[in-house]
Amino acid sequence: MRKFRLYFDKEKEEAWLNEMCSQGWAMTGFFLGMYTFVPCEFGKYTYQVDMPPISGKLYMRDKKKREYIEFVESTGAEYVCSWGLWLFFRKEAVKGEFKLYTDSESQIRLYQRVRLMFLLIGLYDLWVCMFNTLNFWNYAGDYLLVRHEKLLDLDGGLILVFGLAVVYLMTSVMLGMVARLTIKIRRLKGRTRGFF
Amino acid sequence: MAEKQAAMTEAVYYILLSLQTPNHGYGIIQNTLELTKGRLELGAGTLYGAINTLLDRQWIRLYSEDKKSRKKKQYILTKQGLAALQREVRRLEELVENGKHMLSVDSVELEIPTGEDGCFQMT
Repeated sequence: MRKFRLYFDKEKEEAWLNEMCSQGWAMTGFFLGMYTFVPCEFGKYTYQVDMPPISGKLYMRDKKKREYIEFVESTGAEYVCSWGLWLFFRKEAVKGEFKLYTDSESQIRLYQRVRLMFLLIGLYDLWVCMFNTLNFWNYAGDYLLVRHEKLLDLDGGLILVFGLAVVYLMTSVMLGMVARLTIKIRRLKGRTRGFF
Repeated sequence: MAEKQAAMTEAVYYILLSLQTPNHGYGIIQNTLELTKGRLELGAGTLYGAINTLLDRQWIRLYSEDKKSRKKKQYILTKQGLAALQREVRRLEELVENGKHMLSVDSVELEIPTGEDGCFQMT
């Protein structure tokens, strides 16, 4: 079975994957929002979505990623699949609790990595937004203001507007995630400082 | 960081304790579970990050790498790591001793503030 979902929050994604598993569907693959599921025993696995600290030279990253996967697998978990910087792991529920990040310090670093990724994509999107808006205005400004034509009557007007809406939406989602992650990180930092 | 050492996280503390003899990732998790009677189960991501930080800081080093059974990468404490661990144990000892001492002296005549000034709020 395949299902299309767009998740930007990895906690919500994990909750959904675990919910699917409790209904007898185990996630086995992911590509661009398309999740693949196969039937399994009800609640057989616990899922975790991860973005490990893999940095350094590009040609080393594949090796480091493999090392990381082996490391996690050596603790009794199972590697499911990966997509971009994201990795999906699962562990059989009978083998006990499954959590990759168990203290606030490492959770903070995880969220900082995720935030950096969203920030870079968000900034790129923002640039695309501005560039396209400017282009759009150069093309359509005259028609709209001087000749009072309707936007959707222009050649390719619908595509232009739709395209712009998509990039603006993406930008706001990405930068919105940056804000949410910043709040999360600040909360966690409060926790590491202890009671006072 | 080296001279004036901040308090270690529990993860780092138990990793160092577990590495006085060569040990691998899963061994560290098991050892920590045993020592804390099941209270602290280190997650693989947390452990991986901590091990890499400790390797960078040269508090631990790679002991052996079994090429055949790929998952058995063993680590061991270095001299710096041992020194840091001993410093931390001394620091914790001081905390605990002072706590026990002060509590046993004062608890008899302790007056618990009524909480109006908010200085004794339990959170």
